[in-house]
Amino acid sequence: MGEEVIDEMPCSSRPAGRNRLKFLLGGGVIALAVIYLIFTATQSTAAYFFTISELYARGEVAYDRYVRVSGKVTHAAIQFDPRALMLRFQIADESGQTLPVVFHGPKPDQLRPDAETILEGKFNGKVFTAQTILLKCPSKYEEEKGIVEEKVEAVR
Amino acid sequence: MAADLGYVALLLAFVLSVFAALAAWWGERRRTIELVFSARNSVLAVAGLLTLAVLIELFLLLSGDFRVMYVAQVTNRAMPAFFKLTALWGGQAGSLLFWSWLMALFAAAAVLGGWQRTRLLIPKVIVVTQLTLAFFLSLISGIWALLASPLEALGMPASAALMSEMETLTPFYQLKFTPVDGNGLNPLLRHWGMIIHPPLLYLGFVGFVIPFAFAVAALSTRQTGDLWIRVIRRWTLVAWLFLSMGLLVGMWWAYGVLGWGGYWGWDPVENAALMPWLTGTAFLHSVIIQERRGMFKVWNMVLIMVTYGLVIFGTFLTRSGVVSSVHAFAQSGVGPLFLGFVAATFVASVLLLFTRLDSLRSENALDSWVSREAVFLLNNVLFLAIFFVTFWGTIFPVISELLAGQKAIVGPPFFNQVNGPLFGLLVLTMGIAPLMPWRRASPGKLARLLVWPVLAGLATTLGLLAVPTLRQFAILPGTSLRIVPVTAFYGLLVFTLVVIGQEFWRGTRTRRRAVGEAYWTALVNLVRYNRRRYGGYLVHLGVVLIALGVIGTQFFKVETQRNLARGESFTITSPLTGTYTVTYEGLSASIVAEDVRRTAAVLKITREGQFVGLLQPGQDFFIAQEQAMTTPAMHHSLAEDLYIILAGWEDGGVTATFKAYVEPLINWLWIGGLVFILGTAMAVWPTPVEERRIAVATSASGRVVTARS
Repeated sequence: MGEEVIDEMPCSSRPAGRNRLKFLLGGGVIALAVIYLIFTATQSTAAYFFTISELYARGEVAYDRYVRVSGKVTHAAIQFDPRALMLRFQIADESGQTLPVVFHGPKPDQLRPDAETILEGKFNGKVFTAQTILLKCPSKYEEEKGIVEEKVEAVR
Repeated sequence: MAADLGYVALLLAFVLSVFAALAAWWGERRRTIELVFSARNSVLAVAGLLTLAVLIELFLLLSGDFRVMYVAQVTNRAMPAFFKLTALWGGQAGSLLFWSWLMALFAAAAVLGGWQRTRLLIPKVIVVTQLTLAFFLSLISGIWALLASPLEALGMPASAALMSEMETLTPFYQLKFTPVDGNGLNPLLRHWGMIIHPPLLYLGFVGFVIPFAFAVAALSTRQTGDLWIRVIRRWTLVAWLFLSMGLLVGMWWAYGVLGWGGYWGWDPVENAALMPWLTGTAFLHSVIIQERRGMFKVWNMVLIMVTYGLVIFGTFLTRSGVVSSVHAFAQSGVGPLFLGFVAATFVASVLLLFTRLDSLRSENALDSWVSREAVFLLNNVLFLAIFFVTFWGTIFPVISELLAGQKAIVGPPFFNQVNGPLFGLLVLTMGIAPLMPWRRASPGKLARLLVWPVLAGLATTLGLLAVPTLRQFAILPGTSLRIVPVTAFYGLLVFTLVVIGQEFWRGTRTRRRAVGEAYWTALVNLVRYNRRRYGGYLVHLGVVLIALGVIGTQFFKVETQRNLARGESFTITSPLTGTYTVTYEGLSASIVAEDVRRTAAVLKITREGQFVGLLQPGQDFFIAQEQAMTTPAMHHSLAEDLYIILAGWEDGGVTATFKAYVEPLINWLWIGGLVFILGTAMAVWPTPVEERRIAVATSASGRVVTARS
């Protein structure tokens, strides 16, 4: 077995080697292009997870970059102006660091003190402007591992 | 009592599936036909036992035996009987049982169906299907809990705890007490889309195990000729059909029920179902090359092996969502076991492939860049690229956490940016492929066939570029190329559309001339006698229509969000049909079902001053679950949907907040989906024997030729 390894080409007019090389080259170019696309798109769209302390520690590096930050809604007043669809609240992490949040959109039903949230948006050093609010609330359902999520998106 | 019986059936099925695999293996090795017969009978017995187990589970669900933990988790007293039955796949344990049952039925059908024709392959088919089945059954029959005490003794208490928890994963696990009522099914799942979506997906997943089993059987017995390819063709298409339907219904449900105005969010769970579809579709295409030209043999093996791995991975992912975090993964014993199984089967497959490489030598080489083989190759590379991008994006949180120590995610913009252009190229290969002859195209003939499609495509692109209103609507986030990609994409679609039309026309004309039939008869007969080819074209037509809708919603979607007092209104402008005015007239309350209360807003919709209708977006409150669910309201037309959600209200409805979307061309997505399914069904439908002779004759020449018989 395997002794008569010849690339059989019963009825082809061109040498196989040259063609094979061409196809390998072509495939290589496509693969490189895709890898390049993946690489640049990952860099430009990846949203990092930060804790509130990390977000402050990063300083200007994190400003105006799309990030994810998680924390608990604090007991400070949740202000909502339904006419303007403007929502303001604060979240805090375990260390007690707080982050003021502003969200332009409807108030999620589950947004109440001590609710666990994951926010996506941008931080300008003072206020976090959330694009989406994801709330995790205890649930009875097994398939979500005891968590039910509510997700709200801001007006674009 | 019934639960005990179900559990015994499950355990017996597990034992018999292991026995079937061993007996088939041994029987083939020792050439003992009795053992293979015994293995076959075991396969049938496993199917019977699992049918019994499923029936018992259904009985438990229906009778509301809340002492059974699974029943208490997914049903409650208030649920209608129909939903109680569908709760079989409403939770993890039940869906694994359901999966196993389907697997057992498919395996039995494959073994019985192939018994005569593929006698030499059957033992290994039994080994592969029954080992897969045994793994799934081990998860839900509490087998792994047996490992708890040995692990404890070895000083691994954490692993021991995980394994002993596996005991509760059986759908027949009984609590020490009987709860008064169950939790009930998640309200989001109480929709016909969610009722048929999981079974369709599972049928697709399970279906792909059969081609994989035949591939492994062919490889290990070195029967790598045409036989296995012909045997699995229908299996693959059926699996693919179900998977495609599952994906489409899932999108439809997400759009109609989830209330976010979208249908696809590149969520890990969605990706888990898409990935095997991508590699499966690549396989479906490249296997044609093997059938016709004896090429790409190793490639095809790799594709079906990867698809199998993804199917197992997908089954697991759709039920646990572990990709969102490494931590969630380690919290259940199921994750590591699944990953271990996927890794083990993958390593075994690769080893098998390497030891059999000599039997997979290509019978031909690629002759030219300009040939159908080359276009199929490009099509495969693109499918794999899209798969890889999707895979990368799905597991990126895990990668970044492991490598960079910092968790990050990539969202829809990543997938759209990278996969968008790749899908565009894919449409191009789809358009060109039918025009390409095998081996090598003659430039003159190719050019003649390309004239009309290219002209039509160019005209579309240029024509759309000239429409000024389109420019203001086409928004591609994050780039300055706004209008060019959109119009180019539409040009491509029209190009492909004209190619498909031209193929039908050329076939009809040839047949009409040769057989002397009228145009309509010729068309109907053309399709009837070449179902595979023209079914395929219909599938492509479906893809074009789907793409029409996808691009429409991706680039031209308009959304707005407003808070209105009674009597107030807002406007939203469609890129295609003009400006809608939405006026809020008040809230209404109603009782939808025994345990569901609805609050709906009444909205008057006009377009350019013309009354369109009343829309009533609302929120359903599920009393037992204390959960609210938005119910979007839509105004459908072929041009677009106006899609409105009630986001909230204040002071009993004095003011209310709405979200409105205009979704251009979205209904073409669903129409395209129907065409797609129809085309696949047509390709898969058995051809009667006398017609097959003609079909073989016609397809052997690569073109439609006369069938004057």
